[in-house]
Amino acid sequence: MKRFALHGVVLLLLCSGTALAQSITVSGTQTISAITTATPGSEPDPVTTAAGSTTYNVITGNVKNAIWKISARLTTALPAGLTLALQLTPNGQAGSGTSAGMVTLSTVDQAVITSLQNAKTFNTNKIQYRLSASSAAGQTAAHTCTGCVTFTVTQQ
Amino acid sequence: MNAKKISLAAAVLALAAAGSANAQTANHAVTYQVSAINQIAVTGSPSLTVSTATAGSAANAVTDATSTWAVTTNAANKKLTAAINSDMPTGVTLEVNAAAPSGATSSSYQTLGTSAVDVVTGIATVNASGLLLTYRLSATLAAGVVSSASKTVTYTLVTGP
Repeated sequence: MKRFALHGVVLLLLCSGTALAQSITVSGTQTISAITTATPGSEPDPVTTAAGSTTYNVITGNVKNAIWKISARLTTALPAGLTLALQLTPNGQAGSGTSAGMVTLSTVDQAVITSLQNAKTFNTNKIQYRLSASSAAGQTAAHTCTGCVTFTVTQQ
Repeated sequence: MNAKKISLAAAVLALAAAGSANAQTANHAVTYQVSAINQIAVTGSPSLTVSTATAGSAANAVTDATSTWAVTTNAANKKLTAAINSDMPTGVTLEVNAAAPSGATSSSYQTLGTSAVDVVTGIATVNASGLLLTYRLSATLAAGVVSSASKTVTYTLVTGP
């Protein structure tokens, strides 16, 4: 009776510990240079941050046969006429996933990295943002959008 | 004992399932800004020669509509002005009619001088290209024969209604 009970507790701890292990973190605040130029007759020129000016670290959970992905979305919509896109670039480590390229963000989750290998840690992966604005958007003073972009790591 | 075994197994499965479905998230703060953008450009090198008249009337004015202008502005209240670098000879008049982008208003033909005149008003948060610039040159008979000369027309996007 005692032997059986102890065995059960060990199983319980193992399962809960590994299945909850997936996590993602991002570095710092991303400051995007102001949009300041345009070719006459065209929309203002978008600005793009340097790849890796901010980074992300991701740990995938240990779930049997699982493949993981990272999704991104705007936590709240941007002002009308402003568009934010981002690209995540894996660090090149085996199993660090496939980038979806530059993805225009909305308030709905979109996969930005797929095919992340199970039960791995991938550090110092690059994030790159691109901000676009229409002429109709007008001017916007420098604004920090706290918690602007939400990244989520889930099973694919 | 069997009941305890089943209960324990169920608990383990439940926790495992909850864990795998539990998404982990991170939020990223982003700072952005859109500054004032006011850009214009012109194309073309118009050429006008007054050379004909109907007998008994003044010399015929001529027009050139081979030039265009383009604009991008994210400001709410702009106008386009035009001026030439030096006065036209006495009796000779150079005018321009600038087409307006959507939402703005053309001032139709405006006589060009060294003081800026409004040629398009009410320009707001717009980008447009291929907007026609039509020049018109006219001369009185009293102006006589005028040698070929060039003028530089300067267009400026300024704040104003």
